[in-house]
Amino acid sequence: MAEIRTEEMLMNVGPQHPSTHGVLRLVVKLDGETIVDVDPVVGYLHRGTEKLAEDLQYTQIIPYTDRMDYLAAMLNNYALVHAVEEAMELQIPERAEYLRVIVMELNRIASHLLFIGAYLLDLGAMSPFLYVFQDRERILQLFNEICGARITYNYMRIGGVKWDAPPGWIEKVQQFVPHMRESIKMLHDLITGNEIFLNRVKGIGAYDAETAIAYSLSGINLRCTGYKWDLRRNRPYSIYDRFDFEIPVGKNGDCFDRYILHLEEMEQSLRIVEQACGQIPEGPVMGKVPKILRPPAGEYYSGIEGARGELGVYFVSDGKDKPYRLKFRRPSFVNLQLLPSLLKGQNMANLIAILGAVDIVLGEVDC
Amino acid sequence: MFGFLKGLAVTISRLPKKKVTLQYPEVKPEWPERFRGIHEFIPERCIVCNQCARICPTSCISLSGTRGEDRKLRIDTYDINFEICILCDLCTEVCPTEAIKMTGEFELAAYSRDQLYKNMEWLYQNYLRHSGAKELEAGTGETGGPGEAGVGAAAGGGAASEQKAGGTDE
Amino acid sequence: MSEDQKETLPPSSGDGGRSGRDAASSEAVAEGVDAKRTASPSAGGEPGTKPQEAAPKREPAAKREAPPKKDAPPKEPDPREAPARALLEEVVAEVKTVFPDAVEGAELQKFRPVLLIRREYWRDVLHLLKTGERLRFRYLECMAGVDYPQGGYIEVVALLTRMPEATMIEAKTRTPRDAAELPSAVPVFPGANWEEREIFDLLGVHFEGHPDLRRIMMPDDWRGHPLRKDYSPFE
Repeated sequence: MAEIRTEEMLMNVGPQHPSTHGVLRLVVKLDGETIVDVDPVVGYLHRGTEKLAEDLQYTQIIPYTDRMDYLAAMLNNYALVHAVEEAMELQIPERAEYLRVIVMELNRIASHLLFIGAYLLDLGAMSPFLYVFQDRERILQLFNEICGARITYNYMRIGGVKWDAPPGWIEKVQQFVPHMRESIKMLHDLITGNEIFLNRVKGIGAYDAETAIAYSLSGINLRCTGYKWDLRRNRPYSIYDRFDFEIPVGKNGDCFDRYILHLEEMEQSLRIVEQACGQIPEGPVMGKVPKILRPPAGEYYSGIEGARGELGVYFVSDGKDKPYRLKFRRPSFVNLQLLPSLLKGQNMANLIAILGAVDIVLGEVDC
Repeated sequence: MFGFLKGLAVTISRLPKKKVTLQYPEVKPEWPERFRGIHEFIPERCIVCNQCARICPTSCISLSGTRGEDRKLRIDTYDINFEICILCDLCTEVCPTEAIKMTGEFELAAYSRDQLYKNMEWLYQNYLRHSGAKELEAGTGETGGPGEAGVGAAAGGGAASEQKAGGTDE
Repeated sequence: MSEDQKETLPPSSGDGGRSGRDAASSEAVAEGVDAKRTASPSAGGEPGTKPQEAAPKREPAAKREAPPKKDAPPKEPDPREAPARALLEEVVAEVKTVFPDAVEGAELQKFRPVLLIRREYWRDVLHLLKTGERLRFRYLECMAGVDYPQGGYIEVVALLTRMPEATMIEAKTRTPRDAAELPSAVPVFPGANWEEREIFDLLGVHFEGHPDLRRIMMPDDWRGHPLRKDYSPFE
C-alpha cells in the first residue's frame, strides 16, 4: 500500500474572528487536526498610549487608561491614579477610597461576567451570554449613574474621585448584591454541571505553578494552579486590609479551574462590596491636591490586582507635570505569552477553549 | 445528564420573566443626570479662559474671542471636533462658569466627516434642545424669560457671520 | 569588594527631546480642575460610621500613616526606609560575592532597592537574583525601557519579586543608544519574551540570544523606534 503523503498547513485564525476577542491573529501550523505551532500576532490595536502619555498631564492620561482594558476601566483608572498618589504621597479621603473600592469590585464582577458569557459563547453555548448581560447591564447602569458613562468611566482623579455617589446609589448597590448572589447560583446551575461543557474544559490546557511563575502570569491564570497570589492580600493597597475576603485558588490549572475561579472571585468581590457599603463614611471625596501635579523626580512602580492579573504602572518623573516615561504592565499581554506552548500538540477545537480561558482583552494587549 | 437537565430547568424558569431589551430606535433609553453625551454651549456664560481647550486630552476644542468695549472677553467661535472628542468630561470639569456642559444626546452618526465638526451655533441649539428647554419649562433658569431671545439672537448672529467669513475664505 | 565602594546612581531625570511647551500653561488648567471639584455635596466632614471594628490595622498602607508624619519634622526617617536599606545592602553584598564588579550603583527609589548592573553581566546577575540561595527573586513583574538621550543611553529595567513575601527589587542596566544591545533575559525568565520584543520594537534595543526578536506592536516594515525621545513620525 502506497504511503499517503501529508503536509503541514498554515491557517490564520483572526484578526477578525469572534473567538479571538478582538483583533488577535493566530498563525496556526496544523498537522491534520493537531496544532504543531502557533504564532500569536498582536499589535492591530496599538495606539501608542505610552507615547501619547509623555505629552499629557497626569489628569489627561486617565481617559486614555479607560481604553486599555475596556471591560474593567475602573481598575485601569485606579492603577494610574494610585501610582501617582503613591509617588506624591497624597492623602485620600476615606469616602473616596470606599467609593473606589466599591466601583472597582463591581467592575471586576462585570468583567468576570463578560468572561463567562464570552467563554461559553466560544464553546458554542449561546444563552449564558444573554444571561450574564442582564446582570452586567445592572452594573453598567450603576456606573452610568455615578459617573455618566457605561464603559469609559474616567471616574477617578488623582486625590479622590470625580463625583460623590448620587442619593440612593449606595442603597441600590446594596440591593444589587443579593440579586447578584442569586445570579451566580443560577450560573452554576446553568453551566457548571453541564456535561458537554465539562468535557470541553476539564483537563484542557493545564500547567503548573512553576510554569506560571516563570512566565510571569498573574491573576486567575496564576491562581488556577493553586498558587495563592493576590496583590490585594500580598501587597495590600488602598483599604483592602479592612475587608474580610478569601482568595479562591484552583488545583489543576486547567480551563475548568480558570472558569470556576471567575465565579468564585465574583462572590468574594460581592463580599467586599457589601462590607464597603456598610462601612462607608460621610465626608469629602476629593483630597487636597496641589494645583499642578508634579511627582518628585524618580522612578515609581505600583501594581494592583486587576480583573485579569497584575496591572502595574511604572513611571519615570522628571519633576514636571507630565511623565517622562510611562509604562503599563498589562496582565493580558503578559498572560498571552504562554499560549503557544499551551497549544502545541492540542487539537484544533481546543484552541478556542484554551485561548478563551486566558481571558485577554486586546485593547490591553496592544495598549 | 443531570447537570444538563438542571441547566434546562433554569432556561424554562426564565420563560415567564419580563423582557429586558429595549426597542431602541423607537424607544430611547433614559439616561441619568450625569450622563456624558454631546456638549452644549452657552456663549453668554463663556469668559474665553481657554481652560477647556487646554485640558482636552485630544485637543478637539478650538475657540477664539475678542475683547469688547467693556474690557470683557466675548466668545467669537467655538468648535468641537467630534471625530476625535472622547467625551471624557474634562472640559466641563474645568469650566469655571459652566458655559460648556454635557447633554444626554448620544447619537453622533453622520454621513460625512464634516458633519462631525460642531460650531458654536450648533452647540447653542443643542443647549436649547436640552438644558435650555428644561430651564424654560421650570422657569428657573437664569436664561429664561425675555433675556433668552436676546442671547439666542446674539449667538445666532455671531455664528452666522462666522460662517459667512469662512465662506469668503474659501 | 567592600560595601562602601558602591556609588549612588545619578538621578534619572533626563530632559532630552522635550520642549518646554508645558509648565506655564498647565497652571491655569490645574486651577480650574480644583475649582470645580470642591463643589461635590459633602455633608459633614466627620467620618460618620467609623468602620473597622473587626479589621485590625495590620500593616496599613503607608499613606494612612502619613498624617502624623507630615506635621513632624522631616528629619524623622520613614519606617519603611530601614528594612529597604537592609535588603538593598544584603542583595548588593550577595551579588558582589559572585560578580565583584557587576554592580555599578545602588540606591533606594521610593523604598525599593535599585541595582544598576553592568550590562555584560545583565543575564548572569538576573540568573543569580533568581536562583541565588538567599535571593530567590523568581518572579519577573515588569520590564521597561527608558530612553535618556542626554546621557546617551537607554535604560532597561526589570522588577523582580520574591514570591510569597512580595518584596520587590529593581535591577536595571544601561546600553548606549546608537548601538543598543543587551544579553537577553529570556533564558532566565521565559516571561521576558514579549516584554523584550516590545522594548526592541519601541526603543530599538537588540537582545542577544532572544529566541524570536521581531517587532511586536508596529508593522514589520516600520522605520524607527517610537518610544525614543527623538523619534519623529515624519522622515
